[in-house]
Amino acid sequence: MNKTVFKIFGIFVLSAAFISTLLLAINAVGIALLSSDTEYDAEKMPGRLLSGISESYGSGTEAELPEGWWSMLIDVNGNVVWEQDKPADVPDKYTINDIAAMTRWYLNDYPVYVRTEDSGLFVLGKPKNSVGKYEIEYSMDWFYTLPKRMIYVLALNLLLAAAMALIFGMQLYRRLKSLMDGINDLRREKTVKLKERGIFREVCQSLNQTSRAIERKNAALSMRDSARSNWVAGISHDIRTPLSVITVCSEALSGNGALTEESRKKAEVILSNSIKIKRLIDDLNLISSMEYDMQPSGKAPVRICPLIRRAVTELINNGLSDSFSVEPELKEEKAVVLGDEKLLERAVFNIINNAVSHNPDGCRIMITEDISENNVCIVISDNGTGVPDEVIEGMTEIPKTAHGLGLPMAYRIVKVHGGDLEAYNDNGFTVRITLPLK
Amino acid sequence: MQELMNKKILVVDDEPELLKMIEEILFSEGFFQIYTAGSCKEALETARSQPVALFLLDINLPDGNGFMLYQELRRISAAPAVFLSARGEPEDRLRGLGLGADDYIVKPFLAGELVLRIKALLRRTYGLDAEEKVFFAGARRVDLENASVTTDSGEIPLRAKELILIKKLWENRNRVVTNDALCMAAWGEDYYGHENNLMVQIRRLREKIEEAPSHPVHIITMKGLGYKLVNVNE
Repeated sequence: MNKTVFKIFGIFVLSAAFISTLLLAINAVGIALLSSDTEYDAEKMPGRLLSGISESYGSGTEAELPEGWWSMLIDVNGNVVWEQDKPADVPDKYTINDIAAMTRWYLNDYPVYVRTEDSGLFVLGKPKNSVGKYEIEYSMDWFYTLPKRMIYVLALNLLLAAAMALIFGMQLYRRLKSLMDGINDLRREKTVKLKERGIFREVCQSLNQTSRAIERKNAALSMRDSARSNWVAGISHDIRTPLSVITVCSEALSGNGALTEESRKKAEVILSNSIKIKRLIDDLNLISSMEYDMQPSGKAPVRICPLIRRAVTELINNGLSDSFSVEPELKEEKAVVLGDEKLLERAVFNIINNAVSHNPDGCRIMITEDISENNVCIVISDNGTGVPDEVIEGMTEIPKTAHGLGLPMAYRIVKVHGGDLEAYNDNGFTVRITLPLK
Repeated sequence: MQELMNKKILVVDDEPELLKMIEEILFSEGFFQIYTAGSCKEALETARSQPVALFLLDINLPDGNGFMLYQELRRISAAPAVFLSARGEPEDRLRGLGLGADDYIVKPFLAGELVLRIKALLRRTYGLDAEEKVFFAGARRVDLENASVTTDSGEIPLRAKELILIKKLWENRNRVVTNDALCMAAWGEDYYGHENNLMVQIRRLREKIEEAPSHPVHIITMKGLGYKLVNVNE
């Protein structure tokens, strides 16, 4: 779960760092572009103008100067020997000190540029306050290490951006994590109650509402489940009482020597059918309670072989017709599983009983038991007519009629015990149960 | 035997038909002091006026339920009680047995089973011996009290384990008794591994009871399951 949040968080931090760096680069380019002085076109570069002036001087023509600009030539003695548009407040005579002070800087606040030629020093002046001049002086080392330092700065920026993203991201992470916890709780059907604030306020609200809705649904469902379960139990109770009367009466009739053989046989049919109804009710009850709560109530070590023998014996002792033969061949007496003995016995009984009810003309029922690896395998097969495919396919679902509850119930019981049940037609019907050994 | 049949049994059920049927079943088995009650009130009245030896209680009653009735009865009598209920849920069963009831039978039931359980409970509670102490396997007379088999040629004693096994088979005659139930009777809860001993004991029993031990007609082997005692008479 945290993995997902971390992933989101990681992507967030990385993208924040990336965005910051990109922004930095864009800024650098932007500043560079904005700071380029458009007035400095090539024609107005002082160097070019100065050489133009020197040429004009040589040819005796007037140099082309922008508006307000001026120029002059100072000879080796410090006298102005030539000038063009020179303002009045610019002196005509210069000492070496004057020259040194003015070179590259200002002359009476006029920004000036100079060019040394054989004929003297050409001076180009600009109007006052048109240009600012600053001196930049760094060690050569500074210049050499500049690229390196720029990379450092960039890296530092990257780190800083990541750190800041991390700090802001922690906030996001916490909110995301609580959201994630909420969703996970929702999945585990736990109550979700998130604080409804922050950037995810609406999402939190939705989650809380969803949780409440699920809770309401579950409560309604469980109420319906328990109502259904109680209803089934109630109906079962109401059927069992009159059924007892039928059972006891038919039992008495079938053993009544005063009756004809035919009447006694009919009473036996009533008896065996009422016993069938009793089993159906038992199954119905069990399956309904198992649907409601799939866990067997008490798990204890259960020996498999005695359990199979009891199930078969119950069937035989309850008047199994002679047209059936049941042959258990149990190989591993020591097989023990952890489970609910009554439920497991019911599962085995149901499958054997199924074979009986699916083959009214009788059949041979073989039961084998053996251990393979960590499982005990019980195979119950008959040589009867087999069962329709839909019975096998429908085994994993709740049957629509009470008829044929046996297999679905056995399937559920085996599944609840962590085992598996396979059923197939193979010259009769075969059910293979695998249960993990204790 | 007579002592067993002398016992007074109180049957409580709100279903008059079923009450009548149970009365008939018990009567046909030889019990002749059977009292019936259709409500808690009636049941308590009877219990106060008669020394009842066994209670058979329904759970759903018009003026209360069997669990409550059971607790009321316990103040009057210490006699064993069996719940006979249409409520088959494990919780009900556990509740009934948890209160201290001796048995819990879910309706519908077979008459034979009900009688077997009632007799077994009475015998256990009042220290009475098995109902019939003697039976015949063909011409041989098996005396469970004296642990002996009488044949034409004389009397053969039964050993302790043999006696336990033949008693168990006799109590469940005409029904299959599993190897497990037989072993448990003879060797107790921890019977695992005694299967071969069981075969030995059964062979000895056959030598004493059967005319032709290798072709048994009384102690029949149910292959892979257990044994069944058949063709025997009181």
